Amino acid sequence: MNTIFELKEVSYSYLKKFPALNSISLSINAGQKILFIGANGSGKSTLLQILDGLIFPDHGSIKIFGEEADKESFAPEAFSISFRKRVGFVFQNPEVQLFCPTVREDLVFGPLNFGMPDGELRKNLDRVAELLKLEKLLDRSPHQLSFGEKKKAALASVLIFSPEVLILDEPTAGLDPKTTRELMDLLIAYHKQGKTVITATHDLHTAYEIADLVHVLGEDKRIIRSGTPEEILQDKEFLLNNNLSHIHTRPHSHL
Amino acid sequence: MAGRQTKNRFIEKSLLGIISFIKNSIYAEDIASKNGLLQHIDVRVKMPAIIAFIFCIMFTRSIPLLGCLYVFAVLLAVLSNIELVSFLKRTWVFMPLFSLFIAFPALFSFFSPGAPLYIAPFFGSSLIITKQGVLGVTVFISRIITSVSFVILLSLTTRHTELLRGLRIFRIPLIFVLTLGMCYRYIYLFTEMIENTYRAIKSRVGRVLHYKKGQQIVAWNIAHLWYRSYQLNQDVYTAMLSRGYTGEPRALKKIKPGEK
Repeated sequence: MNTIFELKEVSYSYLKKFPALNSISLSINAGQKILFIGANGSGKSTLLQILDGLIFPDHGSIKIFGEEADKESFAPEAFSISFRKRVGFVFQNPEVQLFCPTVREDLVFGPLNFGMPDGELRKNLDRVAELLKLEKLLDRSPHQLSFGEKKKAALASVLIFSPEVLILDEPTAGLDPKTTRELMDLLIAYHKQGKTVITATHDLHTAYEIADLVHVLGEDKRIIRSGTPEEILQDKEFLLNNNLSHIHTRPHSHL
Repeated sequence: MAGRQTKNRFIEKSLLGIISFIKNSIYAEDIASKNGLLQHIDVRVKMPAIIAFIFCIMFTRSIPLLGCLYVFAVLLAVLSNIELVSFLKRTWVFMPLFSLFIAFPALFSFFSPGAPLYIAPFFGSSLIITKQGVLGVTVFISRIITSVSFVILLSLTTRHTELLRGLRIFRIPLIFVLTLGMCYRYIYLFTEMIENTYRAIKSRVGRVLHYKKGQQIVAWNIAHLWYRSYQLNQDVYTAMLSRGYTGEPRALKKIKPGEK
C-alpha cells in the first residue's frame, strides 16, 4: 500500500514557545479515511496544516509521497505546484478560503494556478457547481452567502481539481443536519473514487462514516490513542476523560 | 443623565450611520441588478464611455457644457431606475468634503484678482469677491459634481465584480485588481464584525455607559479588530498558498460578451 504521509516524532510550537504538537508519529496510506479527534487546542488544525505543507515542524521529519518534505523542498515551484495539485485542504473558516470577489473566481483560483487548460477548467467548474448545487451562486460575492453555502463553496474550491488527498478541518462545524448529511454523502462518494480523506472534527457522530482509522489527540498534544471508530467511540470512559464526551448531570430540559 | 444619553445615542447613530453608509455606497448590488438603461450596457463599453465623459469634463471651461453634461448624468440616473433623491444625496455629499473648502478661498481677490463683484468689510480691511473668482469656483464645482455624478452612475449600475473585470480592459495589472477585489471582500466582513461587536456590547451593557468606559471599549475594539485583520491576512495567505498561489496572479483567459 502506498504511504502518502509519514511523520516521525513531529513537534511544533507557535512562536517557538506555545507547544501545539508533541512528538507525533503516524503514517497515512493512499485510500484511507483518517479522522483526528481531540479537545479544543489539542493540535488538530496544526497537524492538518503540517500535512498540507503550510507550516513545518520544529523537530522530527515528514515524508510526503515518499520524499522528505521541509521548507526547502517546497521552495521550487514545480514541487510545490505538483504537491498542491495532489493535496487539497479545506479550512475550518470558509471566510479564509473564499477571498475572491465572486464564488466563480474562488472556485477557479486553484486550477488557474495549476495551469489547468481553459476548456478543462470550465468543464470542472460546471461539474463541481452542479455537484454542490452552486450553479446559481457562482456570480455572487461570498459575503452574500449563508454559512452553509460558504462551507460548500470552500469545499468546491478544492474539489474542482480533484486532489488525491482531501484534508478537511471541521467540515461539519456550524452546519444544519441536512447540509451535514449532504456533505457526508459527498465525502463518502469522494472516498469511494479511491481518494484519501483526512478529517479533523468534534462531531463524533460522523466518525463511523468518514473514518476507518481514528487518531485521538490529547491535551498534551500527543496522539494518545489510535484505533477503529468502533474501538474508540465505544469506550465512553476514555472519551469522557479526554473531553470528547459529556455526561448529563441533569436532563437538558431542566437547564 | 439626559445629556449622557444624548451623547451615547449620538455615538450609536454615528457608528450605525457610518456602517450603513459603507454598506449602501460600496455594496449597492440592488441598484446594479435593476432593469435600467446603464445596467444593460456592457462594462467594457460603459467604463471607457464614462472615462471619456470625465476627460471631457476635465478639459472644458464652458459652464453651459458642464451644465448639459450634469443634466445628462441626472437623466441617465433616472433612466437607470436610480431613485433621484438618493442619487443627488450621494453626489452632493462629496461637495463639502472635497471641493467647497478648497474652492472657497478662490472666490477672493488675493487668489483670483479681477473685477470686484462684492466687497465685504473684514476687521478694518475688506474682502473682495471677484467676477473671475466666482467664475473659477463655478467651473471647479461644476466639474467636481458632474464627474462625481458619472463615477457614481458607473459604480451604482455595475456589479463590483464587473467593475473589477472592467479594470482589466485598461491593462491594469492583475495583482492590483486581485488586491482590490480582496479589499472589497474583506471590508464587508470587517464592517459586519464592527456591527456585531457593537451589538454584543449593547446586549451585555444594557445601560448608559460612562463615556470614559465607552472610550476604553472602543479603543480595545480597534486594537482587537486590527489583530483580527492581521490574523485573517495570514490565514488568507495560507489558504492562497494551499491552492497553488506562487506570487503570480492568474485569471480566466477570455471574457466573452454576455458571459458571466
